[in-house]
Amino acid sequence: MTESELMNQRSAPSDEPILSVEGLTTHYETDDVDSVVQAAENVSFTVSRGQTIGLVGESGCGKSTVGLSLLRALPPQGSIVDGSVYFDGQDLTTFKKKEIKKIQWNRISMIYQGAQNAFNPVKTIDTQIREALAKHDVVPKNQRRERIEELLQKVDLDPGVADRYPHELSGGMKQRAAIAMAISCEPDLLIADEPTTALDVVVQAKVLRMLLDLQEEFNFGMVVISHNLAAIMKVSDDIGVMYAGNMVERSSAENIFEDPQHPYTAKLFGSIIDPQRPPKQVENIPGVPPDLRNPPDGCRFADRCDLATEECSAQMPAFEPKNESTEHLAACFHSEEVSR
Amino acid sequence: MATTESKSEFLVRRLGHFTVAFCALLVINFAIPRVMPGDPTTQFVGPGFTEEARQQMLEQFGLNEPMWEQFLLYLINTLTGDFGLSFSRYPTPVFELMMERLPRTLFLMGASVSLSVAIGVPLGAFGAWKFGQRQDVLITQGSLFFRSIPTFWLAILMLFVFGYLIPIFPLGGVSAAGTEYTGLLDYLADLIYHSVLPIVTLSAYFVAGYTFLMRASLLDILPENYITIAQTKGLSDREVLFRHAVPPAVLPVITQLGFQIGRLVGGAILVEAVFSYPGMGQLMFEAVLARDFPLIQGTFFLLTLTVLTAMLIADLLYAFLDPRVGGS
Repeated sequence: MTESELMNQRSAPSDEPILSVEGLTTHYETDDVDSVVQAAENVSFTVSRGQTIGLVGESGCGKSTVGLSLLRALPPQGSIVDGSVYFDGQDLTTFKKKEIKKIQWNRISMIYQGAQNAFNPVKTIDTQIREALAKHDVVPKNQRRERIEELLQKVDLDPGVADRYPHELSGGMKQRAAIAMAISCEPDLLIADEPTTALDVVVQAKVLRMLLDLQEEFNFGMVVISHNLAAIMKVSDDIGVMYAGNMVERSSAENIFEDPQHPYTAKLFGSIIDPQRPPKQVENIPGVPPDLRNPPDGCRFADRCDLATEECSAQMPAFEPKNESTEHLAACFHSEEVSR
Repeated sequence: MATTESKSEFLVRRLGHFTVAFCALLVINFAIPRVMPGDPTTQFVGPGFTEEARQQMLEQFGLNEPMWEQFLLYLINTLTGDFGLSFSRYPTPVFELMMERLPRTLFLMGASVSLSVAIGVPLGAFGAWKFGQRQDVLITQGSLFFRSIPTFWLAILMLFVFGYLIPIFPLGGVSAAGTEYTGLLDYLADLIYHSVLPIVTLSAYFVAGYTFLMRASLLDILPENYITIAQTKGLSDREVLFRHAVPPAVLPVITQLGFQIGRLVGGAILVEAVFSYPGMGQLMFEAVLARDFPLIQGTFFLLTLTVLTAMLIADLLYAFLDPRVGGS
């Protein structure tokens, strides 16, 4: 079977989302038995094949937790306590460890934050990509080398890189090799956690371009996690804005840029450093996110929000459609007053 | 951190280190007995020991010759493998004395080190894998206990319990007085029987070192991204541990092993003393007490040369196992 046949078979175009996250709630245990870190609360979104959703928010808002939850790759202290992750119609939260191992990398794979350490220093790139191919038996043994070289070429690396050790590659090369490894089993869903963070600006653009090209070729759904709003706008069809474990706004990238409905989103846009604007206009958001071990009852952003009223601190606003559009959701009592 | 050095350049550089260290060893080895207070005649000092007799003795041992002459002689002899005759057991050759002790020491230390690596490395890996859990706490506390108690005290305790209270092992030595062996097998069986307690004592101490080293090394590796990735690649816990975590974690253990292999020929003075085990440690101790210059030089030379060689081998092995050392 050729690659394209294989691809067509695996990713028949469909409107059915490949991933549907419903009310995902993930907590981390702490040393104190009575308190948990509520890292992600009631997060919902969908992704279809060939489509990308970008999760944005500042550090510690639960983006990576959501990403790891999708892959069921949380550290031992973390667990999904509520909600569902429907992948290709099946709820992954109900899977046993053994079953999830068959999905991991084979159908859902991930590009991790910090690609500098994505590879084991004492093993060649070939060995490490081959391991994934062998584990999921996606290519016959005698064709694995060929596949690895093909993958490396797809990410603009010399096929000879296969025989190199990680320390012999530059940061950008390692990141590309990590991408090659992530798509090695032709996944249906790719989670990219801060794929460009440690790279210089030129390489960042290249890597993002590459992800889009690969998505076009392989037709996988993509969840891109980043705190770099500018970068994420470029690659995403939809944007989900996260704050302190909640998803506070979700819409198409265009809508959210033109007409944000949550004050936090508006502030995020205001904080983008744009060379065309004088630095004085770059806003910062005063204050810090709440302690997720003991988050406030109401809107978690209320403390830092200019528009906040008593209502905001008293109860959590519903995550509901705004602007007469069912596609643009936000959790704010004062959406009409939000302006950029 | 890309290195520009090739594997062969690394080899040459490392051999260079070895040569320099070897020359230093030759000099220091000659100097040490001579800078120690006293000389071979010291132990005879007493009412009947005249200055005349002392001078005669020094003359006989060649210690009245000028220093450079002594050094030259020592250098030539050492490099041709001639360690001379022992002063305190005159005229037994030093080489013969060492060869009598060496096999026993090699056996004692070899068994202890192998045993402790075989137990300590997996134990440390297991502890790290179960970090913070009951098994880990048990391993850590146990290792700390055996690392902290003095070996000679443990040796005495072992003797008291397994040699006296429950007399299943001999109280010391390597053979009962007057034993005649019918063959090699017979000899070995008796050697093992006499070595069990010293080996267990030494191992208890060594194991802890390897356990701690492996545990710490693995704990450094486990939070690495590539371990998480290996897990999400679909590998089982066992595969992740043995294929991805242990190989890089075991590298420091190899360096440590290099140090310890050197000690194989040095023996363990304290433990050998408690068990009256006639090994290299005891021989060295006696040589120092008697200011037996040739014997000190011979035993120290053998010890340091083994350490140097073992370190060289460990480094080369390290370069072979870790691609980051010496680019390809």
